[in-house]
Amino acid sequence: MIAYNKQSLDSLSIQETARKALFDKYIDQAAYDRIIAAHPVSFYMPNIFARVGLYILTWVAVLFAWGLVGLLLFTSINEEEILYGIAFLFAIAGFFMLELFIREKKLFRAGIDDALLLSSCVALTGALHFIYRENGVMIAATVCIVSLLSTARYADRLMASICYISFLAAVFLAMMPEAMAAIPFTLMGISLAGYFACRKMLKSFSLRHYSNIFTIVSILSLCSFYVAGNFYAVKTLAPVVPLPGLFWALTLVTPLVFIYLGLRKKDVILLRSGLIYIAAAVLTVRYFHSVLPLASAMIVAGLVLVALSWWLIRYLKTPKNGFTYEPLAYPSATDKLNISGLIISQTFGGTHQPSGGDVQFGGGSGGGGGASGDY
Amino acid sequence: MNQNTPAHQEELPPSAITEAQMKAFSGQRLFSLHWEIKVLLYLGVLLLSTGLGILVYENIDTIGHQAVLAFIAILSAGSFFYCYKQSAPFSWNKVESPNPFFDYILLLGCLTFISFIGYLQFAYTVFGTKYGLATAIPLVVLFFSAYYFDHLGVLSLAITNLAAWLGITVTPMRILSDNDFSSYRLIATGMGLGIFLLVLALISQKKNLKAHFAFTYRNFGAHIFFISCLAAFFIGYNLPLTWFLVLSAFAAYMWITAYKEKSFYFLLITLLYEYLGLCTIVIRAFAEINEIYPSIMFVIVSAIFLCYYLIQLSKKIKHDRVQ
Repeated sequence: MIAYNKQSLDSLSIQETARKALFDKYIDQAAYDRIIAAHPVSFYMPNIFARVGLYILTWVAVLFAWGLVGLLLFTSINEEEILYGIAFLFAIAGFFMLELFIREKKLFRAGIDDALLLSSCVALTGALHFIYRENGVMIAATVCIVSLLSTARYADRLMASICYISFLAAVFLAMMPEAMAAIPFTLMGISLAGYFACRKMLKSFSLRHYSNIFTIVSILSLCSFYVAGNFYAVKTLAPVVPLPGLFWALTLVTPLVFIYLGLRKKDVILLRSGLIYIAAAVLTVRYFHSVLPLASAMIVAGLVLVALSWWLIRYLKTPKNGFTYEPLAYPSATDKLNISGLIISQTFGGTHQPSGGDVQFGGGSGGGGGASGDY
Repeated sequence: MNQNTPAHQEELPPSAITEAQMKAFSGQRLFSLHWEIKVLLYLGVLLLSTGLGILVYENIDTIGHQAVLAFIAILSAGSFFYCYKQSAPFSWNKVESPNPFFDYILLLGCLTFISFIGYLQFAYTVFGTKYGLATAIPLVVLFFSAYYFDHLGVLSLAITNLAAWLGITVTPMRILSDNDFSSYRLIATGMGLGIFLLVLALISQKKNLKAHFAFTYRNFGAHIFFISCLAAFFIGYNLPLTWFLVLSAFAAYMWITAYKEKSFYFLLITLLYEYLGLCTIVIRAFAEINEIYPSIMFVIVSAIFLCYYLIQLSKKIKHDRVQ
């Protein structure tokens, strides 16, 4: 089913584990070298910057090729229907090249395959226009099926995310006018089922090549669970919220439950999701009730956060109950590019240009949501 | 997600390692809360400083300028004093920060100092009409703190302030939206600043004066120069060939140095900026004789060729170090 060489996928995961073990000093360099030598990977996997470059350039080539062919054919046969036929042609050509590159050139997460996969799926969805014809549910269902098949074949995380989201969208749109009251509960049910199914399949040996997929879908299902129960989201759907108490409870308690479970099970996904949704819960409360004036609320929250993190760092100076403050993962590209420096200059250093006569000094438009890129 | 590996991945082939090693690894590993706590701390500092700012702004009538100024001054001085006491002695090499709060307190000191100078000018116009002076003083303090306390975040702040002093916005999200690139004065300033930053990068590397600052300088310098140059190229389009030559000469320089240092990051951005320039000049040239197909063909073929070249290059430079 999967397009990539399975043995290389296995070796890759072993090498990755060995790299972590070496970084944590569980094995020495000699053992590491032996492991790497025993499990060769045949893939072409460029470094992250080459991948980005190849991704951009492939998209440029694909888009211009579409433009060229479309222009040539569309000017000679001036009918709208022909566009869908052309799109189908693009999809076939794209998937053919993708298969060829994977088999012959051994591309794996190399930018070219990422771009070809996404562009071919877009073309295919366009070509299937005769199925949906402006019908929202059918659009979502088509996208869901196309991305599901791509996920099965290429184990791509983006495709899996699109698949999950379009599935929820299809359910949502199908229920929309008639069964509106049941939407939150249905979506929460689907999310929970999706989450537990992912956790279960993550442990399955025969599905081991899809472990990335299950991780990303479990993150998304936690997200959809929270959003489906969030008071603000329900309120936008129905002006008069039935059972307001229940939805307020879900808004406020869910993040805490996530954090509690995350700490108990040492599950980084639950923990980080919980932290993000606490912010969402605070924003939701503030949207409906102004508990404190904005400034005081910010000062109180800031003080609490600083104090809490100060205390945590102190407390975890020596590891307690298996928790530590020391960074354990090996440095990622984010550290190397000094992203944190850029975030600081973006959020704090909102320096306006001193233009001509009037004075403008940096009030700092503290807008940029700096605190995300750490997954 | 690194900590969250599924169970089957944790098993290494027994032939390669000893039993004990394997047991140690697949047993309970420590769970790091490093990034979670850091993000909380960062958010806390951000909320606190913004909240204080709003509070002061709303109550300026009752508090009075002197009290506000005094408070900001005390905060800033206190932060700097703490950093001065805590920091390891100055060295031109990399100095690790003594504790996790050091970086944030230094940041707080720098930010409040900028506010102090700005407020002084706003309330009492201390610097009169010499607006440049009001931004130049924080600039000096920022650069000094970045070097003395060894802080890359403050260095980035200093560079953005330097650009602002010259009249350019260089924060990543606003570099394209906030600048009026139709003025040649701005473009020239941008190119000058870019070259100046690159020279600084070169000096810090060659003389070994905080060599790890070189990447930040070079990163800002290269992007500022490239964007200014492309802006001149796109907007004026009076002397396309001249500007294209300037762009290419700079790209060639960047390419050679990046190649020497085996930095794929700089190779890539150089390639992409230069490619953008090249495509523009080709498309415009064909557009002048009312042809479109040759330019589309050119873009497709060149993109495929560049892909091929990048693959070859990435086989030569495998790592993703940036310098």
